[in-house]
Amino acid sequence: MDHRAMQVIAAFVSRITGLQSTGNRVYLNRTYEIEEDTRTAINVMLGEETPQGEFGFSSMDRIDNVLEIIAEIRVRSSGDSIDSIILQIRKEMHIALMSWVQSQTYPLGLDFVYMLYPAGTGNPEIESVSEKPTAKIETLWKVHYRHSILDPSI
Amino acid sequence: MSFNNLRQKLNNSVIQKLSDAVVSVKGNSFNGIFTREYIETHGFTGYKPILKCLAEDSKMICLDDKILIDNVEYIARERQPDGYGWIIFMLELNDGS
Repeated sequence: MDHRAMQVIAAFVSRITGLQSTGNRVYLNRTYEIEEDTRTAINVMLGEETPQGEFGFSSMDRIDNVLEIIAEIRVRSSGDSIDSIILQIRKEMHIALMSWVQSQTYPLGLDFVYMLYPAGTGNPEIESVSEKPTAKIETLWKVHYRHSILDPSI
Repeated sequence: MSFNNLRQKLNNSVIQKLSDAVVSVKGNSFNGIFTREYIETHGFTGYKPILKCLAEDSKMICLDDKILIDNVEYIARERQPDGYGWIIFMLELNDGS
């Protein structure tokens, strides 16, 4: 069994794969370049993880953590449409990730995750040195989850 | 021969011998030197299209004009005169996206 943080990030990727704007162009830690005919993509990266509260202990056998996930949106389009494409992707991503609130299920479908929410978005970085302007923007998500004090995979 | 005349002769010779693209804009056609160097931005692979042409030939081109180069349409986004009779245009591919 993987570390629960790995299970979280895998579920996160799965949840935002298949959006109308980005389709299956969702990557985990994509360090290689993306093909030139690609217009939109999301690159998901593991962020900081901190124990909740002073020690993160919810009991003597469990630790509660806050895991940050960075979803970097990448867009290639004409300059005047970049903002609308970024916001469309953000909207679709938000709806896909926050559906747990309405359906009252566990966030990401994982029974050890008890909170998931958007925690801010950076400024878009836009460059126009290529055939089409490109942009990237980081969106931050926080995930509260729990694991055993003895083994983070359970 | 004045320096200006010599420079003009040299520039004409360069465009005559080294031009590799036919440029059409606003009903005019002239020769230019077109490069499309590989570049990477924000993780996307791509190309940087640049047109170099004589200032005299390209004086009708304004920023945001559509330019046809070898049947591919670009938009002139930046205009950089070099002061020696050449203009370099930074181009954006006009593919409707």
